[in-house]
Amino acid sequence: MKIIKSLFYLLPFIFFACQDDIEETTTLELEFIHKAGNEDFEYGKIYQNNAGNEFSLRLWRTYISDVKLMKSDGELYAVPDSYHLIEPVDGNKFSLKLNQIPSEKYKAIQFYVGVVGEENLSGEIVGDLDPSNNMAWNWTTGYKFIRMDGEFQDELGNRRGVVVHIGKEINLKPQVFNFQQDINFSGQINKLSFDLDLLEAFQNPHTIDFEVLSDFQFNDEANLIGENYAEGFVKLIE
Amino acid sequence: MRLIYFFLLIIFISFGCDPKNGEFAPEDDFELSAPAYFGSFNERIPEDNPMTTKGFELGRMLFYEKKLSGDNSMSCASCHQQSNAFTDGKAFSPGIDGQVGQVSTMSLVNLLWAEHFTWNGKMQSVEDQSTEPIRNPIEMHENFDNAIRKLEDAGYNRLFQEAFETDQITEELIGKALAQFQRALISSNSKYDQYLRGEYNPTPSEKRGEQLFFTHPIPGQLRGGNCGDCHLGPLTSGAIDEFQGFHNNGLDHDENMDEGLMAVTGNSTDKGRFKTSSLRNIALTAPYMHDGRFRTLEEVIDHYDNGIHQSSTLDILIIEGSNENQASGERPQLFLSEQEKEDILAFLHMLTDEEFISNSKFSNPFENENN
Ligand code: HEC
Ligand code: HEC
Repeated sequence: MKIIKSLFYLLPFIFFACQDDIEETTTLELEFIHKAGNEDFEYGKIYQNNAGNEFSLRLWRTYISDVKLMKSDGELYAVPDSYHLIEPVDGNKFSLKLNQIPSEKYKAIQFYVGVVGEENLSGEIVGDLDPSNNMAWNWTTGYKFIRMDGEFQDELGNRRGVVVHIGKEINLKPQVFNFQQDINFSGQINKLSFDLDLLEAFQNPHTIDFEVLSDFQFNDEANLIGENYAEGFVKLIE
Repeated sequence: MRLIYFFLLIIFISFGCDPKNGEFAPEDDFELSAPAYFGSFNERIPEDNPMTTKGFELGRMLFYEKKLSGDNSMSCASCHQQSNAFTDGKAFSPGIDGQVGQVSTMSLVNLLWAEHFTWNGKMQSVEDQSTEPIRNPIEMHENFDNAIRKLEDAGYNRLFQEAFETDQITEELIGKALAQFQRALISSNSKYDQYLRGEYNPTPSEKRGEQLFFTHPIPGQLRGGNCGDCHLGPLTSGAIDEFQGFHNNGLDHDENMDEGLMAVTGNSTDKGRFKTSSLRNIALTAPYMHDGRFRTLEEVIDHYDNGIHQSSTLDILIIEGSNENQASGERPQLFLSEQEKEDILAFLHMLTDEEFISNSKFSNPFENENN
């Protein structure tokens, strides 16, 4: 009899134990639209940078990490295991879905361009961090944040490379986007769209002239690209 | 007493919440293991050909089975020899009729981290590439009706039954079994791996070689050998997605260049692009390149240092990869010192995996028979 009684007390406990969605959640889709200025980006297509160099890319990949959403009361919701590799796969678009986002009113979204806190490749595979995805550097230097492989024809008519492989903590650039007014994320799915502007990697504040320098990998000049993509490279479109 | 019930209940509750506990893995699930730094791989195993112990064992027998060739004289292992990291030491390998092909035998290693196979990328799966040599007139030169009859006579039906739950031997199942065996050929116990795991202390030259291998040179700032731009990460093989891992590494100029990837895509900008090989066990797989043109690793390093041929499809990672400032249009060179070349060589030797080439799981299962 006593057993039955104790079972009875346990009942509500059992019932709730399996319900992890007491708090209502929703899905947030982040869409990234690759652009070159006002044009839709395409591999192999020729674009002109601010310095007047005509160039094309065969590969463009960008890591963002540590996505956080700011609720209207200022509290932050951090997306777990938040490492996302973005590339133009669906035409010039890329879309990723963040599940289990608390249904709430939010006023801002923030994340980093780059990979937060992963210095080497020894760790477990979390999110999109995968040593075999062509973004890993080597054992001790971890992941490239932005990778652009392309080429341009120089003044003398020779093929030259445009090689932009940027990493290192100094080039980890926080992005904060405040919504014009609070957005209520609820229901099945919600969506935010961003532009990624290729040309912004080569201008503002530093106009990059490929005739002078077109190879950015771990050198001091790589940090100029970092300063360029810190602002204006990612734009929230509302 | 009551306490026991209580605990039982708790156990019951916690099982109830975890859906994974309901599914039981098949008994003979084959465990593949690879270091985390190789990257994820479970999702790379095709859903219609999961790894099983019976499938692997059957694949191993077929890999060494000479009955799959027209005159019962040749198996996959005739060209892909374990002691040479599954190559044969030749630039071009003769098939059963003595005819040779136009490309060199490839090492079979860490195939899970690749999605395009053969030097020019014409094959999309290990399954496809595994039945091709059997039919190929300049390789094993056999038709599948004959091959299957010979396997039936030798009693293979039972093994197919155990591996695939059907005793009907088909070309497709032969390909699947061979693929299972080859996917298990994972090499991850070289000195380099031991060093990454903290079990081996590299010599100063090996350490410098590792640095050079993975460093993209920046004139005046960083010295590098530039190898890791294409031979990526600890796998030392090319990029996996699409044809990103196919490059023109400057072997020839436009006029005398082999087609490479262009034969597959029809695109002239792909001329001379070949699959970036894994350099795992590279000290054992001479001669080098798709046509076996270099006999030694010294020759290979000299090629990258000072032997690049310019062409309209030469890879930009080679054009932009020098230790000195070169004028526009100048032939790309690395400008490595003799010591630096020795260091890179020392690193390449670190990639030899003795366990891989002597692992009895991968060896000839007919060894003790007069096969
Ligand atoms: C006559 C020598 C020879 C025989 C026999 C042979 N191969 Fe090969 N193998 C080669 C050559 C040469 C290549 C490169 C082919 C090319 O690029 O077109 C190759 C490539 C491969 C590859 C692609 C590896 C990669 O990384 O892309 C696989 C897989 C393979 N062989 C499996 C097999 C199997 C399985 C058998 C037996 C059924 C077999 N081979 C029999 C010579 C041989
Ligand atoms: C631009 C990309 C690129 C760079 C940089 C590069 N490789 Fe390669 N490597 C390749 C490709 C592609 C092949 C196969 C080429 C072929 O056979 O036609 C290859 C083949 C090789 C081979 C022969 C493999 C075999 O199985 O026969 C060796 C050894 C090698 N590379 C070592 C190096 C070293 C050492 C460096 C640095 C000094 C280096 N590579 C830099 C792309 C590259």
